[in-house]
Amino acid sequence: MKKVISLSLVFSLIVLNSLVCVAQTETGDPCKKLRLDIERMEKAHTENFTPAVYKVYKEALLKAYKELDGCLEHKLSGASETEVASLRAEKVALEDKILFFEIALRQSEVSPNQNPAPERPALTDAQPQATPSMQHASSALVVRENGNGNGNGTSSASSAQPLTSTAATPTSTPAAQDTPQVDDLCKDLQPGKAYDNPPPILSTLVNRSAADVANFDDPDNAVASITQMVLYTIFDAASANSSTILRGLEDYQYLSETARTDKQIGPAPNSDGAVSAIEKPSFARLLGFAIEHGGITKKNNGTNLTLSTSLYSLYAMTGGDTAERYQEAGFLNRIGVAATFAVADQNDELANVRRNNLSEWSAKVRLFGDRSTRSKRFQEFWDLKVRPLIRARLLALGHSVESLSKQLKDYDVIERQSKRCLPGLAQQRMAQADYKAAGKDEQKRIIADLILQHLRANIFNQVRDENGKLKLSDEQLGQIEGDFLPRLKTALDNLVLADAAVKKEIADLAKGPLATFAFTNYRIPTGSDYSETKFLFEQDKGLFRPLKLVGNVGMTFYNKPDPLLNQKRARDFSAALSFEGSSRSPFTEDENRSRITYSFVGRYERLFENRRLPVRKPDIGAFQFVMEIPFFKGLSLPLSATYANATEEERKSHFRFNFGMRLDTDKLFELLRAASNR
Amino acid sequence: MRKVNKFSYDVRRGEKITITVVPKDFLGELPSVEATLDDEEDQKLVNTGTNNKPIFVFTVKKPFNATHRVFMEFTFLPGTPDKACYEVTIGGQNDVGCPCGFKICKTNQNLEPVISFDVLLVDQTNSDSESAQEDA
Repeated sequence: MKKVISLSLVFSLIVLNSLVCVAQTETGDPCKKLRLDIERMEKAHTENFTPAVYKVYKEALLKAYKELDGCLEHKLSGASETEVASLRAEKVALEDKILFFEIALRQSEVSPNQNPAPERPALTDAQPQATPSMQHASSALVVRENGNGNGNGTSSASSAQPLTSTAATPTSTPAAQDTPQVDDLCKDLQPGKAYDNPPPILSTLVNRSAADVANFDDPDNAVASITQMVLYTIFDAASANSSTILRGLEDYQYLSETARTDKQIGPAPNSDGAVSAIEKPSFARLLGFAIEHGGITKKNNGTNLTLSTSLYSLYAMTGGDTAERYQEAGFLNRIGVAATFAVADQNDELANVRRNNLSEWSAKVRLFGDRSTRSKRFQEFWDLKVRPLIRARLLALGHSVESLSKQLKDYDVIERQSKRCLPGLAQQRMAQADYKAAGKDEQKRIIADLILQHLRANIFNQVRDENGKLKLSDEQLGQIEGDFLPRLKTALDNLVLADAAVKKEIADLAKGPLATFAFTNYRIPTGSDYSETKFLFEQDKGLFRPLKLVGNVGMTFYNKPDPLLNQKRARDFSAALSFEGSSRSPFTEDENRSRITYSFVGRYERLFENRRLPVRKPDIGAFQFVMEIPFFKGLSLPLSATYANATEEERKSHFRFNFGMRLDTDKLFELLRAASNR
Repeated sequence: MRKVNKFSYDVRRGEKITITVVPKDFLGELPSVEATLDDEEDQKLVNTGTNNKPIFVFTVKKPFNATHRVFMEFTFLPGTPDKACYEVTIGGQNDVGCPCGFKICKTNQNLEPVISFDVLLVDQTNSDSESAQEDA
């Protein structure tokens, strides 16, 4: 009998629903009619429905929601300005209902035997409630050991949400729980509401979290900074004045990557593929490249293939590269080695790695000067000038949260609700087809919208509503406007200054003196092999400012001198001097700090074996102008023009022009990262 | 301690919490982690490790149903390799659902997580002794 009544009720609902289209033509406002119909359907007594009947009922209601959604869409196109806001709000709420119903229906399809009762959306307040998977998205179980005590009897215990008391054995993640736990916290969650024009400091943080959710496919990342999000939302909702102050705060940018120009991996300057005639002493990046490629890195410039590594990277291959191991490695992080092979096979570059193709190998040892951020000087600067400022911001946040948490009895519970339920909501959204089909940017937007809507409905409105759980007193408003926000503003302003100081300090790092000793062994297929020892020096803060001075002094020795070719043990003496300058590039993006670099290089070489040979010159001089112009996306154009009075083989003077294209993947990565942060 | 999600844990009053941070693949660049506990008025977060491997320790002192929050900020300085990460391990007593913690890499966009410790677990033995002390 009960079944018959249920079926007749559902049948009448479906008939009612099908008449909606007819009604649309018969009444002046078709949406109004639809609203009334939905209201009637929502008031239906569903408790006696069988699962099958309940499913039909839900489908009918979902259809009605969708029709109303379409109707509102149509109405919006011709709505006046005054109507738009309310229509949009209604549409957003409706879309939430549609979303929840679609999820609920999908859930019931997945587990058709499930008792429908717990998953029924509560319709009495016309707001759908959490679905089962939301309910076991997290739990607030109290594990009570050796008894069923009611906590330790402190005053705050009395303000607790009704927690399920059980001796359950929790699993590693809430989502992994086998049996759904009724989570009162998530059940009380309000459906999301559109958060138009959120404060920049909040939307930046939400966007970052959403990006981490989408990029790492991890819904937990949605709540990494939920504490700050809740706080900023309260500040936004507290009063018009606090909202204005909050919106005036600097959008917090982390102290992070800027362009570095001290990179040089590649063959020695006298190789055929080399653009510059001078060698820089730094090899900090050698360590990085080597590690990133499993100990050994390769670089092919078309003419030469250079494989490089460092003793530290080999040391770190067992046990990993941790900051502690780096410190333990001592002198190992000062030594780098590289080998260059002539490229004969362009298709299989590693086929070139054989003894016959080896054109040179080298080792570099850093003698003095440290340009890394691990240098003592930088660490002192960081500890003294920057750490306290980072701390001050964290403490400003902590002070605000702690004060509000102590004064508002529901603060902790409401924040807890967000941090426990949002990952479940994000996970559900990520399971939907449109999310899966979307590109990364769209996925980020979807998750960001979800978080913002959640904050609006569950935090903002709790502050604004007359009976909201986060209703603030005048005294609390005064604290927010007069203490919390000014404190946070000071901390953020100081960090902006710190950021500038960090950039300056890092720029200064690259200006200190740096010296390395290099040993290079050249393999000459049609001549005698020889070795070169070279002292490389670089100084930026010298007499020649703003030009940077780079100097190389070295001698080369034959491994086996050939007397028939007039060779002695000492092959040559060489010295090179370079003056480098830089200027701003007009071709790069705003956040790309790469500069146009140019240098004037003079090089002198005394080749002892050319003495007394009429067709050769013992004293060879060269003058070179080198320039590198950075473009967008990490691309740059290095070029050089060289005049020399002779070569090692010929007495004839000559002029040579070299150019190429370089793609700096580090820079490209940073630019993409900066762009996606915006 | 019981894991709720990567950034939320249920703890007992009196429980000692240890947060260990291991910076990996930083090579010659300085890792930097800053962490504070609540407003640092009642208790400071002590780094018992080094800057190369910070170990932050505190004891849960708040009452039942309250929350301790550890505010953190991770920095990746210029020149840090792209695959650099901080591996954060969180441990308490009689941990459930662990290994607990998370990883913040250079590829992460959010570098300021907050770890929440909700005092929702109750050890009856401790509770009784505390009540007895309070009564006394």
